[in-house]
Amino acid sequence: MVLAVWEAAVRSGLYSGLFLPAPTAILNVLARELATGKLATHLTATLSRLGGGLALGSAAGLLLGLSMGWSRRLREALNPVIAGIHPIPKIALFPLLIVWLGVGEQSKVVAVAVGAFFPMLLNSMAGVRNINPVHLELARNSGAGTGQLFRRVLLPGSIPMILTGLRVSANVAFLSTIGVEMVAAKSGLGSMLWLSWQLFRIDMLYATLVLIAIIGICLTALIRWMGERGAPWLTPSRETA
Amino acid sequence: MKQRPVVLRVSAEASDSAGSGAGFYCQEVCRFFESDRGAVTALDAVSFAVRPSEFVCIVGPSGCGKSTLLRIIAGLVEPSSGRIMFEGKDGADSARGGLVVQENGTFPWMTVLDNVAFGLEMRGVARKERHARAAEFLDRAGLGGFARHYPHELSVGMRQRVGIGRAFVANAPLLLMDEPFGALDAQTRWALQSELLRVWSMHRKTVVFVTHDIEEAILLGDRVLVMTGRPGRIREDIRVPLDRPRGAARDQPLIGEIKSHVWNLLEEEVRSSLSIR
Repeated sequence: MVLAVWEAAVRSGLYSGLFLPAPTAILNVLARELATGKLATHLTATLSRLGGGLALGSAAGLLLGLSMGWSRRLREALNPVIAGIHPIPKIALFPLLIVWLGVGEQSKVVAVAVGAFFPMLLNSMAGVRNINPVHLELARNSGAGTGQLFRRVLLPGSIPMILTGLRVSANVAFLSTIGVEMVAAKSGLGSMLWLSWQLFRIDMLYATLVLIAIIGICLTALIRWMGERGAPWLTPSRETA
Repeated sequence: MKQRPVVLRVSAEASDSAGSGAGFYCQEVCRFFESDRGAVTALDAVSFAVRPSEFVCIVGPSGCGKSTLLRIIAGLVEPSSGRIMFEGKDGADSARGGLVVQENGTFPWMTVLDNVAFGLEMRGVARKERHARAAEFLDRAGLGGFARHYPHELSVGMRQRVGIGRAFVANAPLLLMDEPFGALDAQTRWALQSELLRVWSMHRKTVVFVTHDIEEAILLGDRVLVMTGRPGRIREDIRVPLDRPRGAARDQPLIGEIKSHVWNLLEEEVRSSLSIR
């Protein structure tokens, strides 16, 4: 409905469409870019940086977070370090990462990973600490070793917080990906966005934003799906007929 | 483990089923807690013996350290001094998997079947075998249709049976039960008490059963240990010389007598701990 009015307003000449091109114009740009194959290249670049960085950062965050939640000594040793680094906007570390890792893909993926790392770390640590002590007692009473304890109690018991961490991590990772691409990439949606602005291609700008929005929505849906698959006990029971 | 095996005298009735229940001796167990406002003595020189296959109930005012005592027997909490001496060479493992708690006694992220099989899983029993044994328990307990459900889909009473099931299926020679029926309504509680007695009479595990319900203690236990308020000590060790099932009319006079006796003991304790005159 909104789209139809918008389309009609531009078509009828009521509005020039300079700053707000018609939906069909945006779709046209998308179709054209898709046909040239450039869009596929950009999409692949963005998704691989996002996917790689998110996987790397959240896996590392999860591992350290669970360990810190479990071990008081580790927590006390590392908390000051984390408290020092966490408040820095992670994108500010990007120039430093370029110095260390060069201008290639590595520095970009690591920049995304650094963004994804902290939310996962803090949430999974809180997840372990929130586990009911009775469950730990029961596991110890049953003779659970450290490995069994992690796999059967600490990890599943902190899944609600881990999922929250993953949602925030994905968000930050996506933000970092686009940010990094705007600053320092020749491919990816971020660079497309920045190029559109420099060339004043407003229709292209909108087309890119639409793509970014779609990726964001898909990412959220993917995480929700993972949550439902990975933690069926959190979803309300289905009514049985 | 610092507990040294000690052989206790085993009575004739208990030796019939030797091997299924574990006896132990609780020797001069003390437990102190350090807090910002000074040290608190939770348990003060608690000593008692439990014979194999005996059903011992512990009652006491809240905060008397009965749960702490149970956890010391389980090896989950270290006594500040004193020790628990188990019978037999694997004695220290007697309570392995045998803990039953009042609330949150099931793992929410495991199916009912996996919950019941947990003790066996931790002992490295193969999946097929442990599931078969857990399913057998569930069938007997009337929970056969809920094997694939998660605990939150069950009623409180059913969940409690799952928690008890884990302890039974783990086959621990010593069951340590911390107010297992405390959160249940009267009917469910009665049903589970009978179920527990039925299973106990079949397998003759040793049971240490903590409760604040005096009548429950008298209906279930061979002995009732009455504890004092903080610091927790054993005030009296009462033998209940009644055949099971108890509660029939002929039992009532004795049950009533023991009950009022325990009440009097506890009333003094509660009064002195609350400083009511």
